[in-house]
Amino acid sequence: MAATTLLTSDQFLAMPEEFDQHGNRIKDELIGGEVVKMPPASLVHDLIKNRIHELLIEYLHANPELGLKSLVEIGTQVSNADAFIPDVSVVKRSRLPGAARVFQGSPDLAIEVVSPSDTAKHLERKVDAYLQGGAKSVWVVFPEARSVRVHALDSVQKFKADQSIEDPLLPGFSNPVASFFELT
Amino acid sequence: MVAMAATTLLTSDQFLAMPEELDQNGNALFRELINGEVVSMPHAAKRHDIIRGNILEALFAHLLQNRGSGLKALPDTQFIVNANDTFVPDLCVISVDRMKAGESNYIHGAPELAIEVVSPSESAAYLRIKTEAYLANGSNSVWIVFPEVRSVMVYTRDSVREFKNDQPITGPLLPGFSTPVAAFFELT
Repeated sequence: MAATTLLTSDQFLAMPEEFDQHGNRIKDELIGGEVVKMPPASLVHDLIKNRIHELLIEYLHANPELGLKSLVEIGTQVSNADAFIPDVSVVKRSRLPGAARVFQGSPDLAIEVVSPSDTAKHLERKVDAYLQGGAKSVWVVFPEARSVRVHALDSVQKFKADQSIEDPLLPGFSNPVASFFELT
Repeated sequence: MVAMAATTLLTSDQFLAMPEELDQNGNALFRELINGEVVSMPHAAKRHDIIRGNILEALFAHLLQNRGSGLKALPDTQFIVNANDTFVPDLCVISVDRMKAGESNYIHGAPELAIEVVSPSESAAYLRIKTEAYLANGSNSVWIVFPEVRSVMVYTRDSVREFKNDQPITGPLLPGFSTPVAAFFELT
């Protein structure tokens, strides 16, 4: 696929999937119409992602009335030109059942842990697309800086160290940002 | 697309020393080495994603109540299982000590428990090879999860047993694990 060939999500998802010689599909995303292969993440990236997911599951178990579920790496069809696999998605449980092959729309909260291979251009596009597609907020996690930028439609806020992220979707979620980076 | 011919067999060392295969944006492809063959990973569909999430949640809940177990549940972690097999199980349970040991992007050996959620595009032959390789290299058990029939086949070195419906999976690694198999398939 040349970088200039832009696709819609429908085209992307309807495309004959790309298979290797063993009949396995190849993992990719559509970002602003561009097909982008997913890099294998580093162990540190995965540990941070898993740690955040674990904290969210603990929180959501303690707050079942929110009706939310946290999932790692689910495929999402965010817009006509965007089909992403967020590192962690927090979604209303009621949105999950149904026949669609891929989750439709943005997760209510999308969390991306930044890897060295992420380009600024793609990250910015993803944040915008998640928010336009209905996400209440997007957390962008920076492992090197040990900080989290929380994007909402009309604001962006940075949290680090002993600060807890204030996200209206998760009232009382009180884990300090530093705990995202405590790995074992 | 993996250009490697199916007949070119590699060792794990060769596989890991290979230059990454990049797409036009400079991103490397997701790959595993199965019995010496390079195999690209499929991206999963919603049902697969939700089931993996449900099982991970059940494992977290169990491990939270058993904090002394020294075990951790992880999705998508890369294991150099042996000289010819490098796998990324959908989920695994491993001892925390083994994670601290390595700074690298993969863990040597097989996880204590490997869990694979079967997708329609997955080859039965590869699943069997993977299961055998996990067990031969130290896995206590391997769970193969079948979304269509809502059942789990649990392999150990000397047994195989199917669990379904309200049965929780029993085994020595997770004593007292009480989530019924049916809960793995919730919301799908």
